[in-house]
Amino acid sequence: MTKPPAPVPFWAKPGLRRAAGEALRPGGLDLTRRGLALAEVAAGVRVLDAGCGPGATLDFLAGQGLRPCGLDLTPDQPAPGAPPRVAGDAAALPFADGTFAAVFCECVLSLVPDPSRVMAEFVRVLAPGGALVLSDLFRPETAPRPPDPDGSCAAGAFSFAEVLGMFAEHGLYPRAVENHTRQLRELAARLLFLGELDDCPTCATGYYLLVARKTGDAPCSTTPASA
Amino acid sequence: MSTLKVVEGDFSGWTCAACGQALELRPVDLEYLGSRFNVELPACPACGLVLVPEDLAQGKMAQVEKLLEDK
Repeated sequence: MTKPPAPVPFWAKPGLRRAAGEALRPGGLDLTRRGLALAEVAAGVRVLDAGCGPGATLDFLAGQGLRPCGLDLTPDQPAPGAPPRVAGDAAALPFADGTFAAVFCECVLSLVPDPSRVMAEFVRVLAPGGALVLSDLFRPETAPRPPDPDGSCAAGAFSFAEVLGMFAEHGLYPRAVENHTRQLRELAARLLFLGELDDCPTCATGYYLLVARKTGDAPCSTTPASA
Repeated sequence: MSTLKVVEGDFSGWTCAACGQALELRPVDLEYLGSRFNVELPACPACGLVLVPEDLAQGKMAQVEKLLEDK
C-alpha cells in the first residue's frame, strides 16, 4: 500500500505560470514596482523577498539597485550572479534582528499555516523604520472562508480587518493601502482563457497592496484606521 | 505576457471572404472594459479580419466578460 501523492498546490501548477508569468501572482512586477515606490527605501539596502518562488521579484529588486535576498521552503538554484536564496520557513526566519530595510511578501501570507507568527518574524528582521510590502488576496468581511480543493491562496485569504489586526498586534503601522482587485480579475480571466479555471472562485475575493512601517520596537496598541 | 492559446481545432479550411486568403492563427489583442488580453485566433494574413469561433464567444469569452463586469 502506498500513500497517494499530495495534490499539486495551485501556485505550483504550470497553468498559473502560463497565465501569470514568472511572478506567479496578480499584478506581476507592476505591483512590486508600485510597492517599492511606496516603501521609499534607499538605494543599496538589504531587502528580503519572503516566498521568492522562481525569483522574479529578486531579479527586479536587484535591477533597482537594492541587495535582495530570497527565502523559500525549496528555493530554485539561482543563476550565476543572481541574488542569493535561502531555504527556510517564514515562521522562523534564519536572519538576525534588524537585518533588512524592507521585507516583500507577495501573495504568500494567505498560504502560510501561522500568519501571525510570520508577521512577528517580519517585524523582527526589519530594521527600525523598515518597510513591509505586503500584497495578497482579501475576502469580504461577511464572506465565509471558501473551501480549498486545490491549495489556492483564495482559501487562506483574510479579511482586511484581520490583516490590520495583525499589523496592530505586531507593531506595524500602515502607510499606504491600495485595492488592486482588477489585477486579480485579469489573472483569473487569463486562467479562464487557458482552461485552468472552470468558473470563477475568486469573484468574492479582492487583492490589496499594503505598505507598513516598523516605527519602533514596542507593539502598537491601537488598531490603525484603514485608508 | 505570452500569447494565450484559447482555441483548438483545425481552421485551415476557413478563408477570408474579402481576400480569399486562408486564415492563420495569429496573436490578437482582445480588449474589454479596459483590460487587454493577447490571445491566438484565426485571422486573415492579408486584411487582419479575425474569426472568433462561436464556442469561444459563448464560452470562455462570455465567462471573462462576466468576471470583468463583476457579475
